[in-house]
Amino acid sequence: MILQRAIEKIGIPTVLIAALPPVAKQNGAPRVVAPRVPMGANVGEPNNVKMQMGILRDTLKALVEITTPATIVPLDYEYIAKV
Amino acid sequence: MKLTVVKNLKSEIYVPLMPEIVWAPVKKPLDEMKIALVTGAGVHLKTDKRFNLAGDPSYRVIPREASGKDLMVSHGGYDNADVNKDINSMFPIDRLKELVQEGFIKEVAELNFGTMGGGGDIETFTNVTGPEIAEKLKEIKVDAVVLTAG
Repeated sequence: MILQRAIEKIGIPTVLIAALPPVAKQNGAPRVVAPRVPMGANVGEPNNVKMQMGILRDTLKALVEITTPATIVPLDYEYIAKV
Repeated sequence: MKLTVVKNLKSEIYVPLMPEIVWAPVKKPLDEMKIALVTGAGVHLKTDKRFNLAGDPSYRVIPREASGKDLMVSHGGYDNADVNKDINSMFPIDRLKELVQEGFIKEVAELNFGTMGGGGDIETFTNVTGPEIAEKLKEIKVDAVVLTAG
């Protein structure tokens, strides 16, 4: 979120894919998407190209569609890691 | 109503404070954009210097030519099992290139950045690392950035 804010401050729009969206919000992230994923697999299940493509595509759509700062868009993807 | 201000008086209830808003508007459609990836997940080239797992505010450049197979993670703050299987789970460089092929975005930025996030030396990370990365992204005229962290 520190990085995101620095980049946004210089004039480049950003979007964060977060596994812990409340933390992102608390730290002032301007645009956030939140798939249901564990920390460490924010873009989805390993080797699941379809899920990763879906998350990345929806993330970029959210980048363009979010018009209010500190918006969090939940993404309808779920990956539960087997630990 | 006149507000009463009493010095050093604090709320007994914890009131979370959010930093002030930063906001850069989107200026063009996705299919005309150059997109960069920036992460706090400790991603870097296999040939590059590893991060110091105890805390490291430095960053590593990941060139556009790199594919997922050229990258690795050194980060002590989360379970690396998924990224070790497939780095795209945290740093979707191969997926981003596929989106270029589809014509969904225009191109991947020449330079992308890996860091270990702000969990260590927050001052250096905020005052040096962050602004330096932002400056480099601006120099190469990146239109938008996708981040993964947290």
